[in-house]
Amino acid sequence: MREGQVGKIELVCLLCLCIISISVFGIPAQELYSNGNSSYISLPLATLLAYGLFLLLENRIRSGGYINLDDMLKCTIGNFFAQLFKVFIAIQFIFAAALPLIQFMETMHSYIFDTSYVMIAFYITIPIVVLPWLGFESIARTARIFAPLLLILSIIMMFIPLNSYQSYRMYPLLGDGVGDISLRTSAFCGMLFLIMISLLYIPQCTHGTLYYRKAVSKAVLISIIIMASMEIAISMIYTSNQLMDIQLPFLNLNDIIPAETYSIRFEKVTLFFLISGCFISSGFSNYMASNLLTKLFKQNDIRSFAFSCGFIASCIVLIACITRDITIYNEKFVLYTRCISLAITLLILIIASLIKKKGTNTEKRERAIINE
Amino acid sequence: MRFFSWLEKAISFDSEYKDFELLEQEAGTPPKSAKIKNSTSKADLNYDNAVISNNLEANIRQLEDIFCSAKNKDIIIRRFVLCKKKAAAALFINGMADNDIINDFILKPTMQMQQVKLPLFGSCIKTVIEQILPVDELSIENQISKLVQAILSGQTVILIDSERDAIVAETRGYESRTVTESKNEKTVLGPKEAFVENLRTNITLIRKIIKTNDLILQSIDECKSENNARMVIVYRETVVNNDLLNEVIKKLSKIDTNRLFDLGTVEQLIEKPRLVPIPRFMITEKPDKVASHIINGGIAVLLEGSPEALIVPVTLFSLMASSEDTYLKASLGTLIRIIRYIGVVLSILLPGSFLAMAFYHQGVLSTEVLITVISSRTLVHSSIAVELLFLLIVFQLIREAGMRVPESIGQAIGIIGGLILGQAAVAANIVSTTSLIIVALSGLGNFCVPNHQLMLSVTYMRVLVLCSAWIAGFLGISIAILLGAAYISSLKSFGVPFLSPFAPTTMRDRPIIFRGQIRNNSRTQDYTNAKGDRNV
Repeated sequence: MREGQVGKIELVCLLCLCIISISVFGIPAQELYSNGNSSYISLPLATLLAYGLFLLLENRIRSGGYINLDDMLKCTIGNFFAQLFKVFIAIQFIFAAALPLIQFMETMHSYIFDTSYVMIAFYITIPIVVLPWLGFESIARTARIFAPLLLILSIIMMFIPLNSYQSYRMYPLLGDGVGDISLRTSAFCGMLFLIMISLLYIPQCTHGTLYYRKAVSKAVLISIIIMASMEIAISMIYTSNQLMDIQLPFLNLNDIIPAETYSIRFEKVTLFFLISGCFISSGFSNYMASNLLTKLFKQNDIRSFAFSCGFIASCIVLIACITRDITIYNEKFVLYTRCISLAITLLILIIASLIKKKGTNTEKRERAIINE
Repeated sequence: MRFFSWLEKAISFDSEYKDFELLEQEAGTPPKSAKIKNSTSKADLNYDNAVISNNLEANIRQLEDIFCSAKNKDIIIRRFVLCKKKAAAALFINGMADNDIINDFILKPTMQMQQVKLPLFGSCIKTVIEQILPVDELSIENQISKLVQAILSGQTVILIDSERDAIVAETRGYESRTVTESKNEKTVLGPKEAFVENLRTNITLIRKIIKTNDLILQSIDECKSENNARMVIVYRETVVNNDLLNEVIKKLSKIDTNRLFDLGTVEQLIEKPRLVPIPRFMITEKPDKVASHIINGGIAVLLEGSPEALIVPVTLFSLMASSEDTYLKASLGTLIRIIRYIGVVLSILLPGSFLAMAFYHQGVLSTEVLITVISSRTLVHSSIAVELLFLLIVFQLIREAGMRVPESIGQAIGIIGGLILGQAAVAANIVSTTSLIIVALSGLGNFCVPNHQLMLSVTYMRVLVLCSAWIAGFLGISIAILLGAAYISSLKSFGVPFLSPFAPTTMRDRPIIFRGQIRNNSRTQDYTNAKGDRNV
């Protein structure tokens, strides 16, 4: 299964990359800033909410003496529904693999590669497929290498337009009101919650659920600081009306600086650095989808599923880019789909938490030992 | 007529070869994996478990057969009478054994000693060893295979009539190179000594540095090769991780090859997967480097005839470290290391990035830089990618030529290649000045890598990145770097992740690139889980 074991720092780096990639780069500007810019509130709130839900679930798994999330579902709602839920989660992971890359693909097509979308989709398929082939351990270590570099790069990007920050551009402060923020927070929470619970399926790779919880706590704290800084920087550079027309606004923070100031135009190069982070995030999501499906079909080798899931994710990216003006990828549709996904996930998990576990006391003890 | 006969031969399929063709005369082509056996191979003579008899002549005949002494004139069988009482013979290989030791300390005392009385009944071996032979290292053997091995390694076997044991005397004294300055791993500060082809000398060089009683030199007798190469592993008993040690011994014991002349072969035989272009072993010719690794819990493999040592396990950061790093203060050491890593980054990324900017992303460059690049390429007819690839190949050609020719000519080749050829190529509009500078800078960065094998790997990665940039510009580069990093992070050297202690993070208070102060402590590498006091 190419799982291996990873340490806390690698886990924190991986989770930070995934959370930031999905939240900052995974949501189209039209969706994020449609009713005024409030993303610097909704994204951290969504992360906190997801973290709260994760803590409840993790606590339930540990206190119940379950080996992992799959074990908990099997013991409570039965094998059939547990497998069905696994498929549901795997599908969400495939979408999570595609999400951060849609924006990048559009940006690349607009500014750099004037070729067809298919060619760019072909290029992005390679890392999405190859990373899961190398395994979870390798993905986490790659995240450890890239995360500090991307953090430094992001700080530099935010630091360069320091003189251009204006607080008046942040208005209206709550966007279109509390209702709008709640809807967005719920939608974003679904994606982030998915990332956080992912490794509860394979806690043996993270030295147990308790160890993983500590890593998630640190990752959430770091991610909230970074994503809030990024969103505030965006909000202080562009008004919400301007943001509606900008793809990946974080990459265009320096656009307001007069051209020819630097010998190299920074944002065009940073696009390719930041895409590495999204590749890692997508690779991880694809790995999780492949892992779940491989276990579902009782196979031993993850590679065939990694290839299939990666290919599907690339197709989703391609379709989203080609049909971006058609209904399939409009703002409300995506928001409500995410809310429904979160609702279904939560519903099943709540039911599972409430049902009393099946199994003898010996089994419980054995599970508890493995879990510890 | 001749023409017709030639034509007939040329077009006929069943004509016989008159020239000597080895494969055509054999019954069939041997399978690739089959071992070539000759008439004197061990298997044919079947003496593996044989022991010597008490008949001197029979023993001599058997050893004569084994060594084909009728043909092998360097096998010396010197018959003599021991203390004027018993017939005996000394067997050794001329040139492998030291003739002075044999003459002065074996033949002279045994033939001239009269005051020692040999026992009338029973074995006289003990008396000979204790009272007659003034040789420092003597042993008793009775197995033919061990005696053969002893003779082949330069020792002298003394057979005595009516004795069921033989005496093996340490007389190795073949010619070997003296210890000289390291030519391939140059350092400004620190020891300059380098290993030689003689295993004993190499062991002494390590022992000279590590003067501890726990330094073990274990011979790997299970390692099989047709040339009977002697291999030893060196480690510290109290520090080394036992699992690591067992794994190394297990892998080395599995070696069964027809020739084992160098450690490069050993490396390729034990590493898996084998097609990885990144070294996961360190081959070094500097004893101080080997000692440094052994002190920290590493294991060194030494092979007779190979003037290097193979160190396991290694990480990327240990391959990037130079032995003189510790001679510099922390600040200077850090600076040197940073420059070294910048060199590697430049070497891998510079040609690819330049190609991507010039080919795909001209908008990234400012107008001034763009004009400079364009004006330097005005009359150059080849594509910029072809130009860069051509220059990289030329650079490798110059390097290879410089390495193979004698040192004095090597410098001349460097000047010809670097200056004359470069200038001529620019003047002839084959390459542009910008590309030349880019490739030269990239080459300079490559030379910063202290390890030769890693240097070649960097060259390999540079070409990969260049090709990726040619295909997809910066996107190709970012994919190549990402996948390269992911692949390297998945590699392990004898169970140790190749990027440790960075990914996975271990030994957090000891920086890797930013060198810390050297303090009074007794740490060992924690990523090898060595047994020493780590204080982490």
